[in-house]
Amino acid sequence: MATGSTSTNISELKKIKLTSSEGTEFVVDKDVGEKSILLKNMLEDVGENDMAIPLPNVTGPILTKVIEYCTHHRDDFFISQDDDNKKTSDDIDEWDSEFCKVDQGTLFELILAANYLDIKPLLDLTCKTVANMIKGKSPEEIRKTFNIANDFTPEEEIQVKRENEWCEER
Amino acid sequence: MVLRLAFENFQQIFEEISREKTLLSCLLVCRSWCQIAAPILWRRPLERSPTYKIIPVYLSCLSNTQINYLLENGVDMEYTRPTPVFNYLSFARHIDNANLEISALQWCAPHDSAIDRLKILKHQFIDFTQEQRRHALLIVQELLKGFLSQCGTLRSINVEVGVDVASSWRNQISFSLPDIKGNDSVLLKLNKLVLGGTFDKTNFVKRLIGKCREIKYLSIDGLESEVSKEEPVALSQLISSQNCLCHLKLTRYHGDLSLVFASLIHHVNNIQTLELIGVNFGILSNASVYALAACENLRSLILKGSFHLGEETTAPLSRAFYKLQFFSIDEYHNQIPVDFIAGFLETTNENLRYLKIHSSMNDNNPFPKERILDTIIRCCPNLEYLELFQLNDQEITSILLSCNHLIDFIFGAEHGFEANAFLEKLGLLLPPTLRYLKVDRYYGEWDCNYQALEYFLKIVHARLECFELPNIYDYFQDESEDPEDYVFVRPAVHLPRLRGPARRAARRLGIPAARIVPPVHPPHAPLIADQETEEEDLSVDQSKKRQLNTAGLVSYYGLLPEYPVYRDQELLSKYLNDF
Repeated sequence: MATGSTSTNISELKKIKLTSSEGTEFVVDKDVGEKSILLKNMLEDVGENDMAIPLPNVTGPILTKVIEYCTHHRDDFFISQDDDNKKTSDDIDEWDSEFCKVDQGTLFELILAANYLDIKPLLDLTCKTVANMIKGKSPEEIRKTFNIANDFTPEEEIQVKRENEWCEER
Repeated sequence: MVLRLAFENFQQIFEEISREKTLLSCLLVCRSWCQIAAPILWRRPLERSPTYKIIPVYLSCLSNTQINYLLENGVDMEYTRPTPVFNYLSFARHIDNANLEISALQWCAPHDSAIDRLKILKHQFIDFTQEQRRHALLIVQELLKGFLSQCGTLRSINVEVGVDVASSWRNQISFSLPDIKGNDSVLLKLNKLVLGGTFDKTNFVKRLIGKCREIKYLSIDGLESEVSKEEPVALSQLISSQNCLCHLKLTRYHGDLSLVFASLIHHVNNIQTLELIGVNFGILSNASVYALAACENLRSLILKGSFHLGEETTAPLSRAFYKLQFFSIDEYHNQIPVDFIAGFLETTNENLRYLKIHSSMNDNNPFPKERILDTIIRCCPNLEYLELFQLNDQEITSILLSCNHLIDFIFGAEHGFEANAFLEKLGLLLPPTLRYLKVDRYYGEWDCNYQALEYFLKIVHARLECFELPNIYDYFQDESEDPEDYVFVRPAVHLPRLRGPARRAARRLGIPAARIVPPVHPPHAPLIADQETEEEDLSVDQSKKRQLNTAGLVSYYGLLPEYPVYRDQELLSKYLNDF
């Protein structure tokens, strides 16, 4: 499956091949693929050849989403921000926000894929989206949202609550 | 499904949560979430405000030796916790000594005295006993030892002693960083250090030399106190030993600044911002002034309340900083050095984005502002923020014609300024980028009537978010006056009659429908708003009209929101984060 529909003359762009965990082959423009630091480093190491790069940790549907993201942001200059200057989870732009309107399973798979492929902006975006799902919820509501069991003993829960009660009013 | 995510993924998700209460919810979800959220929640718990509730938890993390020491010194440990779930001291990355101290004082106050605690929270001084103060100090010292021995790595330390009311009682008490034993790496990544107060900082600074090399932001506030000869020596050694000092702020510091500035020679390529408050330029050595002038990558310079900032002392600086983008000079001790500023502005090569020039100039103490204005007009076309002294209509016009990117424009009113006539012109002159317009009350009145204001609103193209005028604001400060009197003298603008751009301007100014008022002069005139129902979003609840009629001016208060008090500091913080 080829992606990369921009106004750029496609014939002039170099392509790379990727194979998803099911063995499906994807052909993408090199500049789009290089948004992944993992792929960029691999391409630098092996040089130019026609071999498909296997991505055993990424399924076809998730790889499609990843390519969609990288294609949309192909002209962006990805800069790393240190912890103190990070944007808050409120500054998600409209396209990104629409992109993340997926089911919870897909969202988590995107986080894992962004982590594996080392695409920092996608990882930031997906984590912000999950953070926004958590905001304003009580512990019980969070457990329900993410289907998590409460494994604290009653004594532990009381102690943790007591030690952290200073931030209740904040 | 969620358990498929790795530990570091959750960590990253929780990093995106800034509100402590939400992090607390995460912490209480399950054991694994608790382990991930706790270190984030406890990284900088006292950064925003003090809280006595944190003290017993921290105390329970101290070693037995430390707890025994506090007990021996009479500190009441009855309210401390049993063995805590985590070693919370080890999670700290940022230490705020002032808030730690206030928290300790709150905790040392009688535990059932909610009122006293409330007073401290509001920074009201209450009469602590000497014993309580001594205990608070002991707790702070032991906790600092705990942080330094148990933290993995500290990123910032903020020690301000005697700066606020709560800690003013021990201005003269020596304060030092505890000795670091067996945890030498704790300060390796320290990148921000703020030391404020009248205590002798020599020992504190000496302890840091050699232990940290990554300080990027250094702020020293001397509070105009006497400084030992050793202190500036230690400071200059600390500065020299850093790898890349980028931001330096010196406030009311009476130590030998020549020595401190001379040490900047090690950072001439690194220094990006200099904030110098109350510096006596008259006593600086030539070497130190030349070291300052060599900082050619300087982006931001703030000078405030300087002494002897004369043309002669500043000559080497005036042509030094060609990359400068942010320049603020606020002088009340002396005349503004005109050549210095003009030279500065000419050198910035159109890079300047923020310019503030404030002086004690008034009609009795004028200064040749023409040269500065001429330089702004010629050399600063890209300004986004401009704050100036008194200006007349011609000067305002010239500036607005040349500075087309302004977002904030603040100026002082000249005595007897014909504002009514000028408002018409001003509406057309304001660049479309402008959002904040303020006529500074510091310099005097800028009197205009509501008709002129209404006309201004009709023709203005800029999407103003704030337009502050000193005279109108004053009317609402004096609550003893009957607003009706002013309503009679100054009939309110009849906003529902506004059309086109004026109506859009009113909307942009955020005037809620309920604030829109019918004309109030003459007092019993029919409500024209009744006849104009096509303006759906400007329609007024009929029952409210009469009520609003009597408070016509209040609508104007809403119409002209006050200029945000801390906007310039916010702009500076934003600016500092940009590079």
